[in-house]
Amino acid sequence: MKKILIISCILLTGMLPAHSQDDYYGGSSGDYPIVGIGVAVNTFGPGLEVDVAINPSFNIRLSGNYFQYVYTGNISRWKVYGNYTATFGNIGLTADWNFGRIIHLSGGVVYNMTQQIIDGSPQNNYSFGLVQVTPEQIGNVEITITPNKIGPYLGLGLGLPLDRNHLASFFFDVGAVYHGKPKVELEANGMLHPTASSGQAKIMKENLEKITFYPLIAMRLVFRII
Amino acid sequence: MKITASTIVKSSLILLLFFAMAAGACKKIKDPTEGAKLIVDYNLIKTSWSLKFIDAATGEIINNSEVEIRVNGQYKDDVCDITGVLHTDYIYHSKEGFFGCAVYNVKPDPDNPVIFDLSFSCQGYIPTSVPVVATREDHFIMEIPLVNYNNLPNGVVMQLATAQTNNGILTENLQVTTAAIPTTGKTASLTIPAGTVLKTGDGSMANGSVEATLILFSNMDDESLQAIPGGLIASVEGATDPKMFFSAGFVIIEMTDGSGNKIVTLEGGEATLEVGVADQTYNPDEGRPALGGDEVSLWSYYAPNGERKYEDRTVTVNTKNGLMISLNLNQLAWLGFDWAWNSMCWDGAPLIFNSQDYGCDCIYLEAIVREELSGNNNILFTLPVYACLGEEYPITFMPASLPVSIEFEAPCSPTHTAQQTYYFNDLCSQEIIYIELISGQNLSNVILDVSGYCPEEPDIIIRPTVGAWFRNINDWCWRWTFMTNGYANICDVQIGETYVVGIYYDGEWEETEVYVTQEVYYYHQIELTYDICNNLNY
Repeated sequence: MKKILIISCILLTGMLPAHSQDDYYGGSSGDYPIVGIGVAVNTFGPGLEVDVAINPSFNIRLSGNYFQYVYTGNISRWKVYGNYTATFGNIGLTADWNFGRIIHLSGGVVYNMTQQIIDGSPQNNYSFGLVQVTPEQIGNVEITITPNKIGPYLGLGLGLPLDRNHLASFFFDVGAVYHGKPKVELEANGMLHPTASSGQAKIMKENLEKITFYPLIAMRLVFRII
Repeated sequence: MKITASTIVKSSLILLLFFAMAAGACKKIKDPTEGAKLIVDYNLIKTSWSLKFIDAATGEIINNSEVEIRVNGQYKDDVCDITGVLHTDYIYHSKEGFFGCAVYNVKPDPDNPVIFDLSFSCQGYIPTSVPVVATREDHFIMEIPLVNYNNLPNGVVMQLATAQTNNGILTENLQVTTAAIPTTGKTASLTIPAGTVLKTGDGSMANGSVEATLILFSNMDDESLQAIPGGLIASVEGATDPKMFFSAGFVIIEMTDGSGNKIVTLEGGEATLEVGVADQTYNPDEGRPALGGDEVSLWSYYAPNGERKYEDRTVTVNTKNGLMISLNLNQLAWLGFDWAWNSMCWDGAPLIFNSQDYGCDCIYLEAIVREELSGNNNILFTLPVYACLGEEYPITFMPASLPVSIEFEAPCSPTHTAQQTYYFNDLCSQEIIYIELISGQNLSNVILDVSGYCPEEPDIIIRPTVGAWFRNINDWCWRWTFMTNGYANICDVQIGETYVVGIYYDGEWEETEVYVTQEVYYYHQIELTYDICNNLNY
């Protein structure tokens, strides 16, 4: 992860003076900074952002997105009913380098609030001869999958940068956040308590360890306010 | 817009990096639970009994015949297999000489003890029974000695005789006399005069040649006393609680006709039964050895329901051959001559075992309890105990105000108690009894990790909480251990030796061999029976 952070920083800083901003945008340095606020929808959920265009080719953005989705389903291999709570969210500090008229490269750091909780429990009484077992007696299993909290972001975007000639700018970004190997926490109670062993958590972690990037697709509408 | 070579190179590098990341972000998401198991600790049974059937003469496990177990008594509807399976006919079967049962839906306590009877029948063995009493939730062990007709234990003698009938009428005198019991010199004798009408249980006349069997159990031999059908603590018809008996002897009288029907009643003539009473026999009612003229109760015993029934009082007679009980019979039955010891307590004195050097938390011991009232040192019962160090082990349903001695044996283990014999004036006193254990040898302890699965649900694992038995592969004495959440401590084992570990459940005996090395954990998987798997649908 450190390597990617370093690469991101080099790309962001090393390429900035590659061309004159006036080449593309025709504005003068005196028009900057320009401040905008915007709304966004991305794969972390809906959110808000504050953009500061330092100069025609460089923009800094502070954004936040959040979305929680609760749904139910069966964990079929375990024959238990699952309550799934998927939380998506981030707070990002991103820099955009406009290297073409409408193309920008984005890089930054993301505080990742994404978390998936699967709470599996039987719904019905279970009978075995004389033995009647309630779902409470059987207990439940809770799997919590959490990626690294802090991770770098790198992406490409389309959209006219903020300038004095336009009130609003629309952006479309595609990129990815590196979150490392997700952590898996396993808790269980009742008769299912042995499920929550470190060996089981390790298996689940291994199942997820290849998922180290989170794709980010975003649409943003930013209004110039200053 | 000017597009320079530098811009193209940089753009290409950025796009390449972007696509590399996008490819990383778009990996197929694997089900996180893939390969992981849902592990269930099947620990709902809080009160259970593990039974081991042994040959009364040899002490070896009866693994070549299946024992049929019938549950009787007021709690019979709460008795189930250790997995929870209830047999509506109340009949269960042993496997390889082992059985396990449990109670569910009832929680035993001293105010509401759970009491039921288990009756046992096995081809080639004398049927017997045992009352089962629990005053607390726990996992108990029982050892059931069964008497092989062809290999009688010490103190048991048997004699057969035949006679002819005509239309159910005995055409000749039938006399059968057992050999003398070696230790007491006493015999039993049955005489049925010619002309007696013999009838079967359904009132039919006996036909053909009849065969009479007379078996006498000594009241002075350990093996015999432990093998008396129904035991010396037995359920009594009409009584809510079992009773303990001081025996003056026990006889089995059986007669079958040419068709194999059991003869039950004798009409038109009276059979005479004479039973010699051992000279050392103790009369607890009088507080002295039995004498001529002492009254002793006559109890019939019916093995299928495991109950004794009070029949009458008989009187001992002094004869030239010593004490004798003589009575006339018009029904054939299994008869005990006993004095009942009426003072019992549900919870006896708690035992606490301690040890400075024993390497395990718990140990399987067999407590041999003898009465010390008569001076005969007669065995009352053997009580298997699974003692966990430092924990109270309350002994259930004990005779009150009766001096006893207890010897503890750890089968096939060098571990022994500090004293060979412990003496107690009253097992019902609530004084804690401390027993010190000494580990005779520095042996190893290993942990067996057992899990069960159903072939159709390989991702669901059942970890049993159940009693387990183990023995050295070259030895015949089984020891008991308790498996919690699939883990069983196998204690006092020798590195380099192989041990057999088994559990009984749902009519099955699951066995595995463990070759003991320096390893601590040994794993074993059980494919569960259809009965269990069929019920694993939440």
